[in-house]
Amino acid sequence: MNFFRSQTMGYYKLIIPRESAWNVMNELAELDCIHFVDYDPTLPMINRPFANYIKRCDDLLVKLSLIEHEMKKYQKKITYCKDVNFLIKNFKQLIKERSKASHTYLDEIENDIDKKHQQLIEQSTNMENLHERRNKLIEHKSVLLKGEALLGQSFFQPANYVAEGYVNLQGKELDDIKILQGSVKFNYLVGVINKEDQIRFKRIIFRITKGNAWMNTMDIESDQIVDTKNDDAKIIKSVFVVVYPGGGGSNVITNKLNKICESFQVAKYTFPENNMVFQEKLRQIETELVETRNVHILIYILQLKPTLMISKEFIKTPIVHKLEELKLFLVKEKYLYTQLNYLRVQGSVLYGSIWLPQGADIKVDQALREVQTNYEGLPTGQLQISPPEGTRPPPTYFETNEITWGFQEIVNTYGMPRYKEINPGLFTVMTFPFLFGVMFADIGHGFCLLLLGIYLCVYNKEIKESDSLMKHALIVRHMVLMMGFWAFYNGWIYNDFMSVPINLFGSCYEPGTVDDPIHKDEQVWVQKDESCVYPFGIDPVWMCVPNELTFMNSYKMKLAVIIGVIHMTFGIILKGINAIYFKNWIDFIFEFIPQIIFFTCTFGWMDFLIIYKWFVNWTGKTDQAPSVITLMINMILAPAKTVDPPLWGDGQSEASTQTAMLLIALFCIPIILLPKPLILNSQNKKHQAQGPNGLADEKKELYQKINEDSEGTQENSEIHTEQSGGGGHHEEFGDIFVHQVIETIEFVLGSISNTASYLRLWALSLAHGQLAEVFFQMCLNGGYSYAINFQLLIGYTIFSMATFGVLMMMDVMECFLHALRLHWVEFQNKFFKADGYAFEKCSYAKVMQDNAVPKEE
Amino acid sequence: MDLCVFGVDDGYAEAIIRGLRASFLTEAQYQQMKNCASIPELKSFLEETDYQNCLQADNPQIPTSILRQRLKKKLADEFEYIEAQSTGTLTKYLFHLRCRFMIDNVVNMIEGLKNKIDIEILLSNIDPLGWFPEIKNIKVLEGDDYSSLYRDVLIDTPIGVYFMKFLEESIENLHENRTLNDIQNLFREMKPEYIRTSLKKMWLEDFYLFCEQELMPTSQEALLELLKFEADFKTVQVIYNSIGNRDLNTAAKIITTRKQLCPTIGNLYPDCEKLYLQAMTLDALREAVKGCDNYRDLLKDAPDPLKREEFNVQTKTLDDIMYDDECRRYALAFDGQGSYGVFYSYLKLKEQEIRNIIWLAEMISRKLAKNHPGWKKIIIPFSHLGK
Repeated sequence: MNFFRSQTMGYYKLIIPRESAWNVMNELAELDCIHFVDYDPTLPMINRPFANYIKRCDDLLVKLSLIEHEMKKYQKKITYCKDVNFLIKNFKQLIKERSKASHTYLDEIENDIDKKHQQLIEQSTNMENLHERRNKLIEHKSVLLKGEALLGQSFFQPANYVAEGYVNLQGKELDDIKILQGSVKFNYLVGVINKEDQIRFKRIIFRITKGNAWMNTMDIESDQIVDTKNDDAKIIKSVFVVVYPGGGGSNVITNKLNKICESFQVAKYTFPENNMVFQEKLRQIETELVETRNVHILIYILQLKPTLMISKEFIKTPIVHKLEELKLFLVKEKYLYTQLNYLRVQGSVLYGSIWLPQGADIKVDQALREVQTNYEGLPTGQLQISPPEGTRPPPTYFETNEITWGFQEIVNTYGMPRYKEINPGLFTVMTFPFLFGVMFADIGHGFCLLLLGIYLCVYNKEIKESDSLMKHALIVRHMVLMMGFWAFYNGWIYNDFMSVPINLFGSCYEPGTVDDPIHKDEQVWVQKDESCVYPFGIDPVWMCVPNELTFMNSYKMKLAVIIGVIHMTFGIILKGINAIYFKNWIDFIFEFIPQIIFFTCTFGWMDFLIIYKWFVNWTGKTDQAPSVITLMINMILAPAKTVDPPLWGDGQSEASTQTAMLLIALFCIPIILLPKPLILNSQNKKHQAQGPNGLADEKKELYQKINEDSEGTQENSEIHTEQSGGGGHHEEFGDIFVHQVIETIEFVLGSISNTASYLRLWALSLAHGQLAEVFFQMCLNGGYSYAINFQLLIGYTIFSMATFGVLMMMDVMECFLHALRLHWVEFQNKFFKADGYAFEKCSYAKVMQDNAVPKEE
Repeated sequence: MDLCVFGVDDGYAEAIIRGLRASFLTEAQYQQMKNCASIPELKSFLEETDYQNCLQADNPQIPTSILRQRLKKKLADEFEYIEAQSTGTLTKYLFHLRCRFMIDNVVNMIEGLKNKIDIEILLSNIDPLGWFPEIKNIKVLEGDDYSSLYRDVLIDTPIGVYFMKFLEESIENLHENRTLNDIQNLFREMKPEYIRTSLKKMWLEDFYLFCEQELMPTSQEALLELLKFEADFKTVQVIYNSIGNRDLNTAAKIITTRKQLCPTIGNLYPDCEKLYLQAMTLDALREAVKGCDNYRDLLKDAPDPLKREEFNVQTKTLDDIMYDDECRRYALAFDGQGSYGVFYSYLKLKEQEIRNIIWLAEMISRKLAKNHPGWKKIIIPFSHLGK
């Protein structure tokens, strides 16, 4: 019953002494059955009593994620938690074994993490500094090597010039004599710059020196320079050499260039002036590089590694990495305080209001008592029944299992059922896969889907533990299974195996000839036996006749309409049941009854005609068979006229029946439209005369009644009606009336358009069939008369890929969406109010599960 | 017509901006902010709003300057995102909007260098909205040699054009037979504030021209209105601030300076130009602008600039009055559909919001009594719409 209507909720007051708030809450959160009502949703979280705890947890989580980041950087493996319940149990054990107050465990962890974090930061800065130094050395080395390449070997050779600051430039046509004479003096500037700044740097140098400088750059190809501050990202730097004229010492240009260099944050290096110094320097850097590398490794092994090895296990049986454990513990702690924040603090006591599903109060009571036994000397909380405060109806709660979850989710996506309203999810479980199956009807394709469903269900456990992508499909495995089954089944009904019918029972027809001399050469199909009927599904002989498509279309169309009308009638009946349940007699008499009459008199009548026509044997008098569509049209356009050709009798009785049907249907429209708003209006007036206080008292009384009598579903529902009506008390008559007009129009027009909408059951099946046929004809038909040849090989490849991609992927998706629409719109708009809100149980398992999976990077 | 095709290129960017509308702090939130007793409390309050992510890493006792920097960073990030999503004219347009901040940054740098403030501090105080790579190189500035600064650094930057025009104009204004010395003198005496105002004036005129020439009619309509108004405010501000200014001792000098600083667009120009250029008192200024819009009403409450020394925290200055009126106009423009005005308004309104938060932070850190009139000096974007 819990799935048909949502669970009965009780409103309770929870009183918790402040000193035991943590323990009580911890116990309660493990129950997974309490919905805490926020006492003041407008109050910002920071103004609440436990905000600082939440803040602390947040800070620690940030620190933990930093540690995690660092661990990932050094490729430490982190095992993630798979079973949160186990962890919760362990946490509980752990807390119990401690001698100090339970909530202080957070402080302990805080210290630990802070220390670790501090240590790590220190060490990673050490590492960073080392890196930095290494970068510098590499830079220097490259400056020497590249600089040599840029300036050319000859730079060193005329030692006497170099000593005086002369440079010979390769590639620059300078008058040798001038250089020899020393009339041109050069200064040079060597350094390393970020590659991205290079062009701007060049430009600015050009402008400052007015073009009188020669600059060349060369990238450092070494990928050893890494940006430690930015996740070891590679940075490309380049060595530059600027040569500009001017004497030694300081002059304007040198000053300016220096400033520019500073502003670009380039590293300047001095370039050795002769070969010996150069070689010496190079050697020196090489040795230093080796040294730093050694220190680097040393520091890593001696300091960083032990820090990252978080060896002290948190709980005894290590199934998860300590880091993960800490993280989950903090998540849990944070959640606990968030829930505590929903309670109102008065003095040293916390008052909270909660919703409990029926029967859960015993569990809560027990848990509260357990607090006392588990932690001696701590006062425990109290649970009291109380009348609901505020005007919000109880939350909607369904207990779902693995099978129903998916379907309930489909319904919830559209809207949460109102409290105690009939849950469309229950019917969706059956009708959804079925309607899908009607559209996807194909023995072959359906079987593939069925196989997938079976595979997912049978190997559920194995897949769950593997890393397979199928993991994500597990959650809907039952849905796939059922959808596959119905597609398979309906495939048999339509006798369609990837566009080819199967002659399983032997067709009732055989090839023959007609006596008629004109059509002598044509092939005709003759019935074997007068009484022969193909036992199951459509006779495969239809495949071979020219009017196959016409027949299948009319057949599928009629089936679609019949299914649709039944589905919608069922929806209307559910509305009636809801009205009875909520004791809403106005809705029952003035909405449900006229609606169901209207619907059966129009579209029910049409279904009747279709089925009646099927029962008549039209052999030999096909020209006398009336078209159902014409019948329906004439019913409205020419109501009293004798039907010709008639479906039965002489057409007189048929005409009078359909006239009566039409009149009844038309009569129903004003009944839907008028009485309800009039009655509501007069009720409103009465209520207003009574005054608002009377009403409130009445309501309160009713609430008390349910809480005294916890099994009083009837009373409970009565309140609900009161309440839902309560919102409209101040509505004007105009509003009510307009609302009803819309409702009426929607129903009357909707019944036509919705019925037409169910034709998609036929249309998609047609599309599916035609697609399958096209693929089959195009790819395989040419090949099957040969034994095996190349063409068949290629054809088969294309066929299988098209079947998989178009039919098994896209068409499944399409049929799914259309089935979804048929439920959301055509079925649910008949009765579903969908204005409830979900019951959010306070549950550690849920938050921890949400945080247990590693975030995708 | 342009409404039909607006969405083709700019629909996405506009939609993002419309979505960002939800990030504005509400009146109730301001009320709660006013109740914060300390900076950490304010910070943790802001962490519950849209500013959450940009503040998380900071220490609770966040200095106001860093707070401002963080808030601006967030705005800049949003703006950058939108800029990255834009194409064609919108990109150009958004870039124009940034120029205003670039001018501010450059002038701030110059000012800082002149006052020998450490370059690192200056760089850390740069408004992220107006960041451009060359800004670091302003350091090259030697003494007051703006022309070489232009030649070496600014020439390539987006604001180079304005700077060049500014230099040309300043030099032209010198007497005929000017010498190099004169120019140097001119630069030495030039106040950064003066550079800022004239650069911004040029920017405004340029932006106005851009809007007039390149934007679609709907955007034009919205923006030109806003820009005219902004230009008028600039004019009024220039006049207002020059009243009783001791640096401008002669009447002739006042008028030339004013002429140089007042934008040549807007509702006041050219009709009232003569009058306002010569207004030497607040009353005369009121008289000069009375023909336009509600300017007279605005100036009615403005304190007399001649009594500048008496101003204190609680004085509702001309700036405050103008911000208030601007805020109303921008909020209205924000709701306009299919125009680029929404980007402009968003920027302006967010700036106002940041100003509000900083102001509140100042008030809180000074521990002023809650009945202090200063608490009322915040202008809440969109609060005018309800009334």
